[in-house]
Amino acid sequence: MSRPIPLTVVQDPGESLYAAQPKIYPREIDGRFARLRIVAVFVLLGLFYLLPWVRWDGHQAVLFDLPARKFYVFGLTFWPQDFFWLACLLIIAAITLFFFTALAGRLWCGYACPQTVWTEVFLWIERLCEGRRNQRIKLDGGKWTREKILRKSAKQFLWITLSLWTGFTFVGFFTPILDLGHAAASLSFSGWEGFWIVFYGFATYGNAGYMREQVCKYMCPYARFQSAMFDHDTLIISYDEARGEPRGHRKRGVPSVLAISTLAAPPSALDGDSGSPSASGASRSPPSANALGDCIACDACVQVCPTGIDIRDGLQIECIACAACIDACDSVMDKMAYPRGLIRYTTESLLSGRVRRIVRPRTAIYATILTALIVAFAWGVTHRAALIVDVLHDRNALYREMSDGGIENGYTLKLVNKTDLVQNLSIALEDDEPALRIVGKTRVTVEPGQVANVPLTLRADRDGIKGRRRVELLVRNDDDSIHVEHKSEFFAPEEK
Amino acid sequence: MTDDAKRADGEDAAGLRALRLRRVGAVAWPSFFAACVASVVFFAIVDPSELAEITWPHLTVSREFGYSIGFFMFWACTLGSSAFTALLLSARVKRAARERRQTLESGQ
Repeated sequence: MSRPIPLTVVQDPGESLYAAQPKIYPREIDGRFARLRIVAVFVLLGLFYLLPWVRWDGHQAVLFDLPARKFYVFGLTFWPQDFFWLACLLIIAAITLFFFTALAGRLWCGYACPQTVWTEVFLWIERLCEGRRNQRIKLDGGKWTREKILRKSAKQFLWITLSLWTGFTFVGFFTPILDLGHAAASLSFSGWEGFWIVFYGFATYGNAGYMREQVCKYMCPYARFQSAMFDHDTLIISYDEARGEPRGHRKRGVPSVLAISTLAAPPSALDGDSGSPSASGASRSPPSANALGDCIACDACVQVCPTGIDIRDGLQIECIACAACIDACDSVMDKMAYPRGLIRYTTESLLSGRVRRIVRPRTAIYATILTALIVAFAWGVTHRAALIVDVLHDRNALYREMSDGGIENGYTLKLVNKTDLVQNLSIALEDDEPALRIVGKTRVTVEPGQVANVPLTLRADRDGIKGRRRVELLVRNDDDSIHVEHKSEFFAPEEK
Repeated sequence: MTDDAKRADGEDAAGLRALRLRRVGAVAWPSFFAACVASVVFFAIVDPSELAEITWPHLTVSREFGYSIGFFMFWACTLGSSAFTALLLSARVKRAARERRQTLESGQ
């Protein structure tokens, strides 16, 4: 008799873009890395929510005042003309990200990304209203009882409140938050302020409340290209397959393979800490009596994973390096009285028995570029020009011929006073050009932080200048602490 | 239709929905990010109120309005471009899948 061979379609879960993924209920976990993330959440979100309320010299300490086109960062005031420094700052941020990624893997994803920190807070709220993992699964699976409605509405209320407050804070970085607070109290936002508060609030609500790990897995570009910064010495979270396999349930009291092994020193969670040997690679001892590795197949690492992967399958693109599995596994190892570190921060080099190099061309290059940029930025920002001078030649006519045969060129001088003092400035021609003179007033007062548009006329006497002539204007204040030269052109008809 | 087939069909539909949603996310999020960067760079140099003066002087355009319009214009461009890329790629992926299925079937 022929018997049908049982067939199942095997699909790699990482490959199957098709499968509708079940909702992930990450189990709560306590441990050193979880505490580290809580610290990160409090520091980063604390900065975000409190910074707009800090005052400095009578203005908001950090304010990217878009309506006034002025950026205040504590004692510094930036103007649109300082955009270069903003670009420089963004580049510094990017290189910092590259540097830390090369060094320690997805630190950003696991501890600092807004997606991670807000999701963490939204999970806290969810836990507060709906209970721990098993209670949540039960609640979602159950009927709509009075309790379920109450718990769900409480969660929604807190989520929406936090989202709106987040949106409000976000807009508070761009318009003075005190004014915004007054507007909020009387519900009289300008249309766009209201729009952006709701927009940002909604984005927070959707991303941290519902999308969660989907953002990291399917939407985040950084998750895809960060592997370009990885090498064999980058910190990754890895399961020690040589020590753990074959996995299986066992009775209490079965000793760890490490205890039987000649290399009994327990590895730390951070291999780099002690450089202690693990059971990885060729150093694996003969298998223990029952031929089981140290993994007891409790699946705690899978249950705590916020992206729902099994770290024991190896390094995966979904892993955001949050180290929840390390915490989970460590607590299990403690219960079994096994050395910690079956899942740990390690590197490919360490796993294959080589030494970890922290200083290597990749990190050295990133560090050099980073240092150079930071130094340049610090120097540049503290040595910015106090006065910006722009000379715009009249757009409509190159020159005007006067009745007496003289030639006039019209200009607009744009003077930006970037100091906090009133500046009395005088305008003069730098070269002693006898044929050319300034017509009209040459003294101008510019208030602190203001832009003055000064019309300026240069006049050449009859036959004084032919064709194009380069002119240099000098703008200075009385004590010459401000002294800016600016080149422009003077046009006259060519010789006939 | 057997129960199994029905369930498989339902799962397939749910899977397709998830796939579509994911594609929307993959188009929306990077394009949003690119539009943010473009807006920052553009408006650092260009003052929206000056831009308004030389474009539609008879309309009163506040800076906030200018920034917002500019941002959404950039987003419309990046979103459109990403969406077209997704569309073009998905047609190729579908064709490749169909061809592969045909080869598999003819091989049997």
